[in-house]
Amino acid sequence: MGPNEFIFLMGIMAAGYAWALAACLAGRGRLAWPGGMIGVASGIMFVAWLMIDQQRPPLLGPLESIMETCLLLGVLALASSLRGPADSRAPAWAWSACLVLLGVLFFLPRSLQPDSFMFNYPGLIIFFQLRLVAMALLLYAAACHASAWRSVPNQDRAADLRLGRLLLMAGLAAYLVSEFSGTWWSYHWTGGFWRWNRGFLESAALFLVIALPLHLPHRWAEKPWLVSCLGILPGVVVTAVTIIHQVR
Amino acid sequence: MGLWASLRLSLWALAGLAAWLGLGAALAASSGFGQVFMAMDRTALWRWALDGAANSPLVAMWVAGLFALAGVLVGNLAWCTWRRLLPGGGLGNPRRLLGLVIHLCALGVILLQGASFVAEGGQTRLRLLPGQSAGLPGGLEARLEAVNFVSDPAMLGMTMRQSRHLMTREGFDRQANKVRVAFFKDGRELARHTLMFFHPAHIEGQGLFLVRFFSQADTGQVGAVFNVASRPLWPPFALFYVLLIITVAVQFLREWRAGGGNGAKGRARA
Repeated sequence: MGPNEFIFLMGIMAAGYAWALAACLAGRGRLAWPGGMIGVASGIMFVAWLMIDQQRPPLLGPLESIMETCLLLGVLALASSLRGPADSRAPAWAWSACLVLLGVLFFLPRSLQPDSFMFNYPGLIIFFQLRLVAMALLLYAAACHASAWRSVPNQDRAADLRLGRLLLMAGLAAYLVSEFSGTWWSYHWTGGFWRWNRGFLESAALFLVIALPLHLPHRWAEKPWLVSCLGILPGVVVTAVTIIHQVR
Repeated sequence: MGLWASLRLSLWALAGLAAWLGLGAALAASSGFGQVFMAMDRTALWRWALDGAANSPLVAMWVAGLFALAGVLVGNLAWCTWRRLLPGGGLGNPRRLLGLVIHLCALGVILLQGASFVAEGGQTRLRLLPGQSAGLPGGLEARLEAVNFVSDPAMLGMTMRQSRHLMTREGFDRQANKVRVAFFKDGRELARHTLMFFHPAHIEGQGLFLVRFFSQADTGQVGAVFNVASRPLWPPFALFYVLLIITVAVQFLREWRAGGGNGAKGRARA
């Protein structure tokens, strides 16, 4: 598979998610399912091809990171949208996020990461894979918090916020596994479990950003816009920092 | 109780420290200060503070700010744990107990990471050819007995970055490229270890890590480069980290089972 095939798969994924988003915006949540499936299927095709051809899962680089994140985000959105029309707001935000990511990918290098002898080291695979899983979980948490911002009635908002908090915790757990694996990798390679460099400092900062919305003072927790803003923050920041780190 | 032991201070400390670390990442990535961070990386932080900090006051101020902010976060975390999580409800309440354990694990991870900057030394580089020996801390001696390098020798004359296209999974077998090292103390052989990438040797508190191979310019003989490091805080750090992950995962499962993951049930509870 070459650059043209990658663009084709990206296009199919974007078309599927755009269909799903349009169906949600039109208030026809049930019709989102085929579009979401098409998007997810194209993501699965990309991952399956990578695993067969390169004998490894997606790891790093904008193409691999964004395609896998969009696949996982699409799966989460699809799972939510199957619950019924009342649950179509968060999936709509998730599909919007996928379209933004795929749009960004269009302007970034779309090549696979060159092979490395480290790509069969479990510490490295877990580090990169779990970072992508964390990105998807945190982005879906952001979608739930965005959905909660203007949700009515209050019951819907509370359900969105509860799911958002759960996904923040799941994202935090995935991120911690990823970071621990990276620490293990660093220690067993160089003999140090901390490095004074950009990557380690960014990673520590991201951990704290994920922890932020889980430490809301009670008075702040009563302000929906503030809860939503802080809930959206980790998904956006972790994704942006990870992609920028891989590009620069 | 005021600001201390409050979620408000926790939130501001987390946000402040995250922003400060972000600033540090930007400094470390910049061409002007990148070298300073690399110098910090090569040695123990306390040694850098004594020897090199005066030459780069901005980075020294950043390090001081980092410790100050981390101190506020850790202080508040410890105080919160003492004043809010331990009393009221007692340890018999599983929800409070889990919250307590999560925060204690986080405290352990942060404190041990901080302590490693002060208590542990940096890494020492060793460059040995087969048959050569070098002294290690604690009166140890390491002798490179044999090098088994089976990959393309062209990569030996290159930097890690230059040799990336050769160091593929097919081009560089981690298991086949290895060295054998014998350790001595007071003239007595203590042990022999086979080292590979990501497979270090540990003896009497010292770790020997194979980081690359090289080729002697005149003879073409292949040698090995090692990092020597003593990391006594790594095992407790790793233990607290794993416990933190487990407890966060348990907390997630508890909340999931309580109805947070199910839209209909969640709404019903709301």
